[in-house]
Parts: sequence; structure tokens; C-alpha cells
Amino acid sequence: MPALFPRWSDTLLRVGIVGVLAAVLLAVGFAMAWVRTPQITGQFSPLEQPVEFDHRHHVADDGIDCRYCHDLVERSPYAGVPPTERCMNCHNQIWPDSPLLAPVWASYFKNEPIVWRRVHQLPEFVYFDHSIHVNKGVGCESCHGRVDRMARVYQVASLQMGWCLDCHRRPERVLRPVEEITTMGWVPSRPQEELGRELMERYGVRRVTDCTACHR
Amino acid sequence: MVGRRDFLKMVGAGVALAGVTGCVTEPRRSILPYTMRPPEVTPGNPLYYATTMPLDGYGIGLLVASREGRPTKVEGNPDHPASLGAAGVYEQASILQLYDPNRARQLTYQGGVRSVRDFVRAFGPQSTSAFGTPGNGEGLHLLLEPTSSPLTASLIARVREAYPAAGFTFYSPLSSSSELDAARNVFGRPLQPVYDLRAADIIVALDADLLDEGPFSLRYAREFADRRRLEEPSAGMNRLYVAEAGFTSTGVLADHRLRVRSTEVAEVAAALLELVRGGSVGATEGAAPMGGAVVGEGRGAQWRGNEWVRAAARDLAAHAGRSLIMAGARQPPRVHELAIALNAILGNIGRTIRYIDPVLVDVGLPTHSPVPLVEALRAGAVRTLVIVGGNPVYDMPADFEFGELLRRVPERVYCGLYRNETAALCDWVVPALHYLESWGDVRAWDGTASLIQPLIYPLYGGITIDDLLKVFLLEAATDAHQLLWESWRERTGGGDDFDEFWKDALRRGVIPGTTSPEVAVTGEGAVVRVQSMGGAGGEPRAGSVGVDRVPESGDQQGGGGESAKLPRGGLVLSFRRDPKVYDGRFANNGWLQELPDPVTKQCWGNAALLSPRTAARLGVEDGDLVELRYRGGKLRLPALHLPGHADDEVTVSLGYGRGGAEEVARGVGANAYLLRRADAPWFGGGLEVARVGEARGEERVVRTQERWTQEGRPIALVATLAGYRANPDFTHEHRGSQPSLFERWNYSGEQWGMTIDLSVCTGCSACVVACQAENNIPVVGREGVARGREMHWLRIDRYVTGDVEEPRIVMQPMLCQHCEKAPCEYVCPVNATVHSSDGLNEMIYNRCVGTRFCSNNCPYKVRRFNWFDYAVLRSPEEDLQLNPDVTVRARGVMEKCTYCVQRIRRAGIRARVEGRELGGDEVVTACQQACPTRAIVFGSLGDPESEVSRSRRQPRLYSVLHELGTEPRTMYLAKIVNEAPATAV
Repeated sequence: MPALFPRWSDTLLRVGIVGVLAAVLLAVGFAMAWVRTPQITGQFSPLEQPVEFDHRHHVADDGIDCRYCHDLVERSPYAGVPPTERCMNCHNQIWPDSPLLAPVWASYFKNEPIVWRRVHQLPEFVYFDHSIHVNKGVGCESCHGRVDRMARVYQVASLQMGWCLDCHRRPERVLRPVEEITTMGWVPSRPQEELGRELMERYGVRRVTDCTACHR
Repeated sequence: MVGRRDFLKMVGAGVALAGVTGCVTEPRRSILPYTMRPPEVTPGNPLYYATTMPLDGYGIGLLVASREGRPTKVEGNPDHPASLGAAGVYEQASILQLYDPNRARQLTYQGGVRSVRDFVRAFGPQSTSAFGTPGNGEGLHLLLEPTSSPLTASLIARVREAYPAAGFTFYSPLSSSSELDAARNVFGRPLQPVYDLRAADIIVALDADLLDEGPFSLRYAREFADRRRLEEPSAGMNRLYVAEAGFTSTGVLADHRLRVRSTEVAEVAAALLELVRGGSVGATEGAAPMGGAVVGEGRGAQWRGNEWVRAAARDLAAHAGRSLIMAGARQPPRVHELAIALNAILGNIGRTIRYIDPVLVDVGLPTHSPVPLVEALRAGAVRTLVIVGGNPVYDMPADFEFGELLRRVPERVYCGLYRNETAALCDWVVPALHYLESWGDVRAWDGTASLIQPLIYPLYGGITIDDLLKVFLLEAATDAHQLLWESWRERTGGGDDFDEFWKDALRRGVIPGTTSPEVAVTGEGAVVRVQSMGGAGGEPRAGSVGVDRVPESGDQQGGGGESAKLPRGGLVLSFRRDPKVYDGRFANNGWLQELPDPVTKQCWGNAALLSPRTAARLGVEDGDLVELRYRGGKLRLPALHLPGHADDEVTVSLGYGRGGAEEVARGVGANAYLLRRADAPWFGGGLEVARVGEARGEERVVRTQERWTQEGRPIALVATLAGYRANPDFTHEHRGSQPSLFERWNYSGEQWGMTIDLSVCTGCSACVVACQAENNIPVVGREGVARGREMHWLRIDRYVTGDVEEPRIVMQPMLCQHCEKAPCEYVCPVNATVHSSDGLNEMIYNRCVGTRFCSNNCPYKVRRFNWFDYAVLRSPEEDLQLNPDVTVRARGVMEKCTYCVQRIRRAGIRARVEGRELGGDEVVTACQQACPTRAIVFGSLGDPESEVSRSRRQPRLYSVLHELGTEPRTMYLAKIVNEAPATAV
């Protein structure tokens, strides 16, 4: 009796099985890769804001410390977007007539907040605390990137859990002296890991990977 | 119509798309900074303000957390004498009342919206009102809640000046004048007692729920518990005798509890007095029970032979000057007189009791009785009735038919929080401000004044009683803060340092130097002359003798009135304050409705409570629907067997069966006020109980714990003090290491643990509400509870031990035990519940897929599952109460107690930012903070000197279900009962 299937059909079957498996794996891999793309994480896309605030000018040109405006960063979970009156501290004298400042004046006189769009958005089940990071030697730049070079601020880090855990498992890779917290473009004077380990010792930094450190 | 094919297509599409919902990215949120940030506000960190909650006229000092302007959590103020840092269920739940969407929002006249200006025009300077301003106030009557506010008092005095003929009535359905009347009878003037339970070795409570009822109960509970902590077996302990009909929180902690009908408490008191006064107690030990009897007829003699009475009398005699006899507010003045006499004989006055002048405005005057008002209404003498607060149409005794009388008044004004039954019958309805929105002042039970400061701008508008009185004073409205500030400035004489004084009073929540001075009852006007048994303090006193007027025990009455002289063998109907909704004012509070009753564990309703023996005699099964017939009134409600309840008495909670516009309260339970009569407000004979049938549907009793016993298992351990001293290690089988195949954890840092002392847990449930407020725990409603879906992370298990007829109750707060070898962790397929390095059993909501394996494998049954998206059911107003530090859980997610991990992490971060180690006692959980008796101790076991570490060294320590080898981090201290040695005879 002649064979029902020709010999090459075995090959076809084998290739088919491998192909289907590969397709499934690829699909999963593609999905995993896809959620890590800036498309999903929201990285690198500057957001339009109600006020054309330029960090380049304020940080790089004027040399204003981050903490002048984000003054809560050392004592609150939030870094704090400055109240309108903070802008007015300078701008009632400097460029008071600039049309760019019109929304700020409006906010100030109507006592209505400026509605900023959130750049760094964590899910609601994540509790991030700025104060502990800043006080233990995690620089602004480590997470927010070179804000002094951003016209409109955008998100640099993926803000995904793996990115958090990279540091939480090995803090020595990012730690810097607390005096340099707000420095942009800081370069370690010694090999980072060596300095990091010393700073961990000095500041009592722990490798915190308990779930409830962030999820409560 | 949807065809079959379309339907299947949609189902298929729905299923397919359901998986995609996880892929949707969240919309971009906004940041709204302040335009001008108040200097004291640090966004992200809570701020605490001291304020005071008034309840029936007395203040309880609180610290309220404010999150960027939203009050979110109430805690006790340690500096306030009525709180000492604790906060009860009403205080905890009052924050939800603030955000209640059913609160009255608009000022209306006959249903039409009006402005405050319209109201002022109607009653103020250009009034066209019926009482004929600017007359002398003829026809004007104000019905207020009792108040102790110095500001309100001064305004009332000025209204009286302006309208000398105006009538005033102060009414609250749970207030009782018995205590003051008795003091007036004995001392010649109304005085109120302040007890010092720390100085009392022996406490006798005659139908007095001292640990859970009344304006000073939080303090009394603390003082009582402080004498019961028993850090080592040889430590001393007070002894509590309780005589009561129902089972109260005080009865739970009684060392000796006498199950007695409310009508017979007076006889018990009289018998006690006979025995103590006879001085023969000590001598008659072992003698015939009747020996030394003074009045030897009827029931009095029987009570004198009673074991409980004899033991109490013996103990009192042996602890003269270090004992305390308290009578409950439900009891008539007679019982209070007996208690005063007993205390006087024993030399307790001045030692465990001090008397002060009454704190409330007008107290002791006829204005505190509703009778003059009702008579004036019947006579048609009231043309304008202004009702401020309360709900008299609902909660006046039924025989007044207050609603009918009110209808006949030409002009009716109601100012209150809700559009309740009373508001429905009034022309003018003025929304009142919640205490968290208003300025004011109030005094505590001991006279200490404190300020009420607002935590938030009024949510729905409204006025306070002070604003309302200003309208009748024909004065322009002033700023409420200004009014209060000026009144205190005047009271304190102003001065340069007044600003400092004011700031300090606001900051601390107490005005120093305002505590009422002790009134020496031995002094002028006192009429007690008691030969004290205790030596010092017993010098003969001038005047007639209170004790000599003590009635014979033959003519005891119940709550007064003819009917109270019940035929023996008849049934007594007894009313009680509800431990959850109070007098009905908190009936619209979901937290309180869903809170299980401390003893019956009933939620969402009330029941006719009766003893199993009486129920058997009447043929009433547990859960049957019965009809109570009492003095012409009828009421249907389910019956509930309550072991330890007095025979031949039926207790019903007030405060249910509401019919106002409040959505939560409406239709829950039965309105017991319909049976209440003015001449017997608390209990009376002549009740008939008829079984109607099985309770069904909405009438069914819903309970969180159906069983009473531990089924013979060692869960809540109890021992007598003598037994504990003889065998201190009696719990050794229930603690220590167990063999295990699992590896030990590698811990670092603080090691969190909790110890709960069952000896001082009253079951008051303040911890349950505190947990609910702190952790954003949803309310599931009556149906949910009926299906066993209540969400409380912390529940209180109640077990009956001993004889069914004379049971003892042990309360066991049960929450996540944070096992070292946690059964839940082993079965979770997605690692949503894991162990932390500081010993917590963590629950990660965002990982949970809702298999519920963990709950099935939890031997303590403390895990709760979100069957629905309860957060969606919450109103936007109630969302403002949410704690921003705690995730709001979604549908399909398991949750449970986290040891308030948000507080642990916040405290840990603060300590590390400040560059120091976290103290072992630094973190206080919500339940621990609220607990009036400090039964809950929490802290780090890593610190050997922390409070929790010290508690772990007590020999009576044990863990629940120890044999399972779960090694819980939550451990318990066995309940120790201090039985009188002689009663064993």
C-alpha cells in the first residue's frame, strides 16, 4: 500500500511545529518588548504644558537650584510643583509683561491653580517617596535625566518596576554625595561602585526589595 | 432585540476584549499646585489639628488628620481628659458623617430654596414672625440639644434677656437626670460625680456601662484597664462586679456578673446597702445567708442571700475608701441615692469620687424635661417652635405624639444635619454645620473646656447653633471665629498674652485651668452624715442623713410610673442606647450600621434580645419574628437569644427604623421609640411577646458570628487570677517553636509584632471603625454581610465560656496574624502575598488575580475578597475621606490587615531621613491608637525594651491555633478573671 503522505510531509510537520512554537514565543516576546518601548512607557516625548516653562533657561542659564521651586523634595513624598506665588517672587520684577507669563498672572490674580500635565506618572498602587531618595544620595538627575537640557520636560526613565528594582538591588551604582543631589552632569571622582558602597555605608542605605516598600 | 448569534458575538467579543483591558494606558493626570501654599501645609504629609466632638453636650477631645485640607482620620487627643488619646466608635465614624452625601444641603422654606438672608429677614431685625418681634418672646420656644458650650450658654442667656417669655427645652433621648436628681435629694443640690477608677480596688456597677457609655467612658476604660494589666502574676488587679440585664461591654469584663432584671437592680442595691451598713458582712462569713438582715421581708431578703450580693458586700467592706459603686443612667434616682449612700458609708467620696457642679446649661432645671414643652404645645401656647439639632419627631416618647403636636404649631423651624423625620414636618429647614466644619466650644464631663475648630470649609453650607441664636438676638451675623474669640477674650479678661493663650488652646485642644473644682459635699449645704466605715473621711457631717432616707426594698420601681410595678413573672421591656447608631443620629453612617454589635454581632438592624430560657418559655426560636405588645404599642422585629441576658426581660436597641430622607438609615431595623413611654423611659413591665413566624428577607437578623462557643477548642484562653498565680505557665502548650519543614526567614531591621491583652478588651469595636477609616475599607451593605462578604480587616470574635445560663464572654480581636510560616503564602500562585524582611505578611494588590486560595488556606479567616468594585459605589463626597496612603482596592482582589504598613513605612522613612533608627514604639497602628483600654500593643520585637517586647515576656502569652505551626506575629495574653476567693464556697 502506498504511503498516504509523501516523505516530505514529515519535514513539513516538523517545520510547522517549530514554526507555531516560534510564533507563540515571538508573539510573547514582541508583547514584552512592546510594553517597554517609549510608546508605552511615555519616555522621551516632551509634553506641552499650559506655561512655556523652560528648564534650560532657569537651571542652566540662571543656575537656580532645583529645590528653590521643588522645595518639598527633602521632606515630603512629593517633590512639589511650586505654588504660583513662587514664580511671582522673581517675575513680578523680571519679564512681568511677557505674554509667556500671562497664564501665571492669571492664576495668581484669580487664585486658580495652573493645571500642569503630569510628566512622571506612577500607577496609583505605587507609593514613591522623594524625601528618602534625596536624603540618601539619589540625585535628581539619576531618575529625571538632564533637566537642564530640556525645553519641555520629558520622562527619561521607563518608570517600570524592573527599572526601580535595578537600583533597589544595587544602589551603589547610582548613589552620590547628598551635597551633589541637584547637580546636573555630575561625574564621580572615583569609580562609581566604590564610591557607592562607601556612601551606602555612610548614609545607611539598605537594599530594599520588600513589596510594601512601594505597594501599600 | 438581540438575536442569538449577535448575543454570542458580543459575548465572544467581550471575553476577548476583557483581556485587553490590562493593556490600556492610564490617561495623563494633572498636577494642581496651590497658588499660595499655606505655610503650615506640606503637600504629602498629614497635619493634625486639635478639635472637640460634642456628643449630648459633652466634649471629647480629638486630633484630626488633614490631608491637603481634607480631614481623613479622627484620633484621640492625649491631652484631653475625656479621651486620653483614645477615640470611640462614634468619634471615629463621625468623619464619615461629615462627608455624608445625604446631609441637608439647602435652606428651604416649605420646600422652596431660600437664602440665609431670607431666614434672617423672617426672624431677625425686620421679622414678620408669628411670635411678634419685637415683643417679649411670647409664643417662641426653642428646643435644643443639651449643651455645655460657654459661648452658647452666654447667647442663650442673652436671648432670654431679649425674650423673657420665650421657652427653652433641652432634650436628648438618651439623657437621664437620675444622677443629678439623686445628688440633689442627698446633698441638696445637683452635683455630678467624677470617678477615679485608678484608686478603686473594687468596682460595683449597677446597670452602669461605665466602660462604653457616657461622656467619660473612654477615660474610665483606660483607668479601669490600668489596674488590670497584670504585667506579672503577682501584680495586683481590681475586681469588677456588674449587675445588669443585657450584656454590655462592662459586663464582658465583669469578674462577677449578676444577671438581673433592670427593675430589680434597685433591690440589689438596697440589699448591698443593708449588708454593708449592717457591718455584718465580714462577721457573717460562713453564717446563714439571712444572718444580720435588717429588713427581712420579700425579695430584699432573697437578694441579701444572693451569692453575688454577699461577695460584693464583703469585698466593699474590706476595701472601704478604695472601692466604688456606680449606678447607671438608665436606673431611677432611687438607685443612685443608694449608690451615694454606699459610697458615703465606705468613705469613697473624696477618694474614688469627687463631686463637681453640673456642666450642662440649665441642668437640673425643668427645661431639661420635655414635659413643659409638650404641655405648652397641647395648650396651643407655642406659636414658633425652633428645633436645633436632634430629631424629636422620631425620638420623643411615643405617648407625647410629638409629630402631631408639632403639626399644630403655626411656625416651625428645624436646624439640623439631615432632612430627617423632624425636618419633614417643619416649614423652615436650615442645614447645620458638622462639628468638623464649625467654630465653637464645649466642656468635658469634668468641666474642662476645649475649642471646636473647623478642619474644612463647610461642604454644603449651613449655620451653627450660635449663628442661629444670633439671628434671634437681632444682631448682625459675625464671623464665627470672631464670635468665639471675643467670647473667650471677655471670659479670660483679655490681656496682652491673650493671643498666646488662644493659640495654645487651639493647638493643645484643651483650655488650661477650666476643669471644675471639687465640691466638698461635707461642706455647707451638704446633707450627708454617714458614719463611714473607713476611718478618715468619715467624720460626722452636718445635716440630715441621706442613708436614713433610703427606701425599703419593698416598693422598688423601675423606670418610674405605675406600670413599672410589674406583676412578678411578667415581662419587662428594656431600652438601650445602641452601641452603633447611638440614639439614631448615626443611623445613616454605613461604617456604624455595618459594625457588628459587640455582643450579638448583629449588623444592619436591631432585635429583641432575650435569654434562651425566657425564649424557650415563650416558644420563640433564635431569629423568629416576634411582635412586642407594650402599653398599647406594637412593634415587630426579630428575636435573638442572648446568653447571659436576664430572664423575663426583653432588651431592644433604640435608634433604628428611621424614616427620614437618609438613604442608608431608612428602613433598617425597627423603631423602638414607638414603644417608649415618658413615665418609664428605660424599662417597664407589662410586655407581651407573640411569635409571628420565621423572620424573612429584610427582617432577618444579619450577623457576622453566628456561633457562641469555641466548640471546645483553645482559641480564647481564660483563667482565674488564683489559677494563674498557681500555674503561671498555663499557656505553655500554646506558644514556642513548632517543628517545621520550612526554612526560617532571614530577617533584618525592625521586627513588627502585636500583642493583644484579652483581659482588658471590652469588645467596644473602636478598633474596627478606626481600621475601616484608616485603610479605606468599603461597606458592603446588609446583603453583603448576609452572604459573609463583610470587609473588616479587624473583627472581634466573641466567645461564651462557662455555663450557658451564667456565661462569661471573652472578646478576641482577630486580624491578620502575620504568621512566620504563613499558609496563605504557600498557596498563592502569583506571589501576591509574600513575606517582608521586617516580618510582615505582605499583600500586593496589583499582583493579585483573585484565586482566593490564600483565603481558603488561612486558618484565621482574616482575608477579605472584593466581590465587587466597591469603590465605584462610593459617592464622590465620601471619596474625600479616603486615606491617600492606602491603595483603593479593585474588584477581584484579596485584601487583609497589613499592620498599617503605610504608617510603618512613613515612620521608617521619616526616621531615616532624620538619620536615626526607628524606635520600637514609634509606629502606632490605627487600632492601637483608638483602643480605649490599650489592649493592643504594637511595635518592634527587635527592640528588647519596646512595649511589645515587654508584653511578650508575660507568662500568659499564647498564639491562636498554635498547633498548626504558623508562628503568628500577633499573639494574645490570656484573659485573667479576678474572682473573689470566697465565692468558690
